[in-house]
Amino acid sequence: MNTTFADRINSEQFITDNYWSQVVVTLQSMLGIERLIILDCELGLNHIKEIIALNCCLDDINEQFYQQNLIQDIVHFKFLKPISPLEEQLLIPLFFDDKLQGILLLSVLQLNDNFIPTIRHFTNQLGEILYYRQQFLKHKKIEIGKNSLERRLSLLENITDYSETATILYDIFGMAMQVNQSMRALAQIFGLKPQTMSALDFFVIVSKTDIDTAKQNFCDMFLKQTKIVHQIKLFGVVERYFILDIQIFPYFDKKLKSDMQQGILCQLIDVTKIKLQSTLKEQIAERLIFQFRNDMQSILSSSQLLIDPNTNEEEKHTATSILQNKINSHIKILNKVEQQLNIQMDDNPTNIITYPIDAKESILDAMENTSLEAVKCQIRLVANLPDLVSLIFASRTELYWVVGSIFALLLKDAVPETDIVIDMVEREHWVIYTFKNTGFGIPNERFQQYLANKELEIAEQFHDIRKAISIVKIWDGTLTAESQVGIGISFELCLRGFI
Amino acid sequence: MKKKILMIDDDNELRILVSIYIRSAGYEMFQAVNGQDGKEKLKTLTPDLIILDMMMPVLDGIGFLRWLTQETKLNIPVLAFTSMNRNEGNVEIIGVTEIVFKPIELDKLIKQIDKILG
Repeated sequence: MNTTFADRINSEQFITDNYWSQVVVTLQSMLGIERLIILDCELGLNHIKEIIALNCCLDDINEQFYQQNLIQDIVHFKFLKPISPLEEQLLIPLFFDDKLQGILLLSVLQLNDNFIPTIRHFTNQLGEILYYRQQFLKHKKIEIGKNSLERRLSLLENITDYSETATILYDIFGMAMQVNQSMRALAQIFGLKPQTMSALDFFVIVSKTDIDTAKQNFCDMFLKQTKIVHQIKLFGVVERYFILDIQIFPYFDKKLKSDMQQGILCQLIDVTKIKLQSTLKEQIAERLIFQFRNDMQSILSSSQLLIDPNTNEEEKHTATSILQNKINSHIKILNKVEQQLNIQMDDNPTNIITYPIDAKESILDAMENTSLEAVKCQIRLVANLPDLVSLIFASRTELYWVVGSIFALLLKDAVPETDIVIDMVEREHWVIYTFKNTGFGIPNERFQQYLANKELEIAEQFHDIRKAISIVKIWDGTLTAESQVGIGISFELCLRGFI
Repeated sequence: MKKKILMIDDDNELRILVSIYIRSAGYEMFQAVNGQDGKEKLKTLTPDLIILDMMMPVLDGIGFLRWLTQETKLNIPVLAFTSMNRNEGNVEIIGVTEIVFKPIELDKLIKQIDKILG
């Protein structure tokens, strides 16, 4: 990366209320803090300034506080008024570059064994952030100190930026510090703004987890060192599936000789392909079960007729031949399915486009995507899709694109306040879709030239249809179209059926 | 007089087999290959019971039932004969008197028919 940490982060954020509120929210929700005040004491204890406070203020600090000198470590004493026997209070010095930058005074109802080691993870960075805040207030820019977060993160940043896994690095308070290229690309597709969202907000939005559960998950992550792992689905032009993985990333602090929690690593691992493959196999299994129930009914009925004393010879002959046919056809289906399930899609990327898919999903998705444009053009999309239809051989995303291109041309030609009708029938081993508009139309001879004559200058919609025709050919299917002046345009898309 | 049953199912072989068995149980059988064909048959025939496959091309069982219950004044009991799995089948289908899940033994099917037709 060519830019420095100081260039990349928004240094102005260190003087904003929003940033410090996020710090307070994190401390309060992760550690169950009752009251706290963060003080800037660059000029000594007698010149302290309140940066932010929760349920207390500068006036609540008692006299004993100002009598402290040479604060080196955590002081377990009640400096905040009113003093309650139910509260435990701590004074935590905030150091950076071996200098005291500030002080955190806090109270909790119960001080368990984990509390002090955990709060150190936060206060270590708080000292550094205070340093940046002071720098920005003085010079309107920040200069990176020794042992800075930049040094600690640089290796990780380089790795994440080159990683294909979408990643966000947050500081320990959940403010985004680095969003890698893959995450930026995803954010654009799905309309997310990870740069300006806290880790908690990002988690709530993408996983649709309620805020209380999300806070509990984050607490467990900080206190019990657990990982947050969620399966999520995001909708852009097409649906994509991810594993959201959020965890604390540690750094070995030589001075403290222990692992310190540096921040939060959030990754979105794209599992769309795996999910797609498993869905395809589920769909095959579903169809197979359906077919199996149907065939079993015939097999069961034939065998019952054969042993029934009331069945005459002619009927027995019919039953026997049906029984044989059903068994033979079922063996064929089983072989076909077995062969298909043995195709390892990972071995060859082209296998993914020759794997049977649901025949209706892409059509319905494309209709949904076109619906707004259709409303604008005052066109209704009417689909007559049967419940029962074979799986088809095509690529789901490409079929979606093909149908989208068909809709685009039909919409452009359609007369307002008419319908685009989508029909779907199954003949032999083919699934046939027809798409028709009521439109202005073009003479068919010219229309066919638009689709086939490569020397002709044509509009973008026709380019897309030409491309669609060649895509469909890869699936061993056909896409043909006709047009008539005063009637409109119709398409016929034939795709190979499976079972 | 024999009671009339119309079986609407796109599986030709199954229709033949079930028809043979039901006929031998004393009913008069009529057949249609899908919901649309079923509608045509009902122009000239008033059966006492319809055995209806739910998943069919052209016009499926749901479409046929919608037409039967909303667009006709016919009050004919319908026995849905389906390959859906039983969990999906728990959903009540409007207009259906009884649901039979495939595969079913034919003598049990006859008992269901006898029960509906009294």
